[in-house]
Amino acid sequence: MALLTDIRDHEIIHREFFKAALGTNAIPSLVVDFSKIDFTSRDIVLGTAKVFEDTGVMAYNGAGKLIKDAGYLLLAGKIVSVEGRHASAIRDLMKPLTAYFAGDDIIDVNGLDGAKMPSEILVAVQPYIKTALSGANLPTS
Amino acid sequence: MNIFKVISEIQKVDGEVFERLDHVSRRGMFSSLGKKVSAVAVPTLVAGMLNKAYASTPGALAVLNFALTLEFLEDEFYKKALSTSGLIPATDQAVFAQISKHETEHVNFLLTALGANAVAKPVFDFTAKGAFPDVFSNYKTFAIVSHALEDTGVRAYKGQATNLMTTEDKPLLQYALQIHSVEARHASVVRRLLNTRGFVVGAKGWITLAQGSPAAVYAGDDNLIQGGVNLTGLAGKTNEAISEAFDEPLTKDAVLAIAGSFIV
Repeated sequence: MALLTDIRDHEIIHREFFKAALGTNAIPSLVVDFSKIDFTSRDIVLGTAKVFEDTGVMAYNGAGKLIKDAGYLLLAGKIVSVEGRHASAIRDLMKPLTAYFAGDDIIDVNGLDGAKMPSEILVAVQPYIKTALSGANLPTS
Repeated sequence: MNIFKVISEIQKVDGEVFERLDHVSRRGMFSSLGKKVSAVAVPTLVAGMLNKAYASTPGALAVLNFALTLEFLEDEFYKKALSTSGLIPATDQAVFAQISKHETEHVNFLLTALGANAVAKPVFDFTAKGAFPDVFSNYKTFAIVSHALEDTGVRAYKGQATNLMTTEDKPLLQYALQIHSVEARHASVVRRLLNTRGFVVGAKGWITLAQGSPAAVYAGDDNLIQGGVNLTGLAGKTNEAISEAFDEPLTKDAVLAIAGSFIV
């Protein structure tokens, strides 16, 4: 519980930081859809948290090369490793003391974590968000 | 099996395949396709090439050799620990075996990317010149050095990301980020073990302020200013939580001072 509270607080801090940094350029709040998540099931809550954290890692890893400003790239780096720490902890809660914290299901044979382009990430997270997502304004290279 | 059809199929899922193959072909690897390669081997060969990147700019060579030195250190550290009977309890072997596997993979990946430009593997002294005399006989000492190396790795890769921003280095930037987050996963699991085994009570998967030992590994991690904004009090959260939400980089010099203590 303390662990999930920590993670929640970190995510709130990330969100509020981005809102402060973006000012009037920030996107409006999203309407989430968690109706398909059974919050009475520990396995489902942790499994969903795992997907969110792993997806967060892949999103930052894939978007890094699209960032033109060194300061912003460093900021993304400061956040993505915290998401990686979260993912590891959630996975270790699911299957304690196994290889699952950085399992072969997510780390490839070169020891590399996932990386996905924004367009792929938006598709992956859309089921959890009622607001229609568009990456039309995002760079692709 | 039509190699061009294969590449076309790959391109549907990997939009950069042509760019990457072009990058590879300049190194002459593509020419091997001109030789007699069995149809069965082609997909494996292509997949293998797609997972490789090559450093060519001076900046990239410097970054990757720096990374390679750290990976050499980590790789040998875990291999020695896992081959020392009685050091790591059976309950925790799977965790360290997985970490060790990744470090070996990182070494091999970087060696491939650097080719003939790779630095030689240093000779290591994991006691850090006597600072950790029982590193391979006392599990607590081993675990503490382990978490320090992993957290150093995270900070080291982070500090180098901005040196891989040229167009030519972009594929390497992504690979470096992909290693960076794996090191963060490692650090998190070892840090949590420090708590559960009673070695550092209260240790979390994330770094709170600049807490941790050795101090040099955690110096400056208590930074609360991000993007020029002082986040103190943000959303009513504590300084501890705010510092945990952002991992700070280390300069190459700071990392080399830490790693240097393990190099003979």
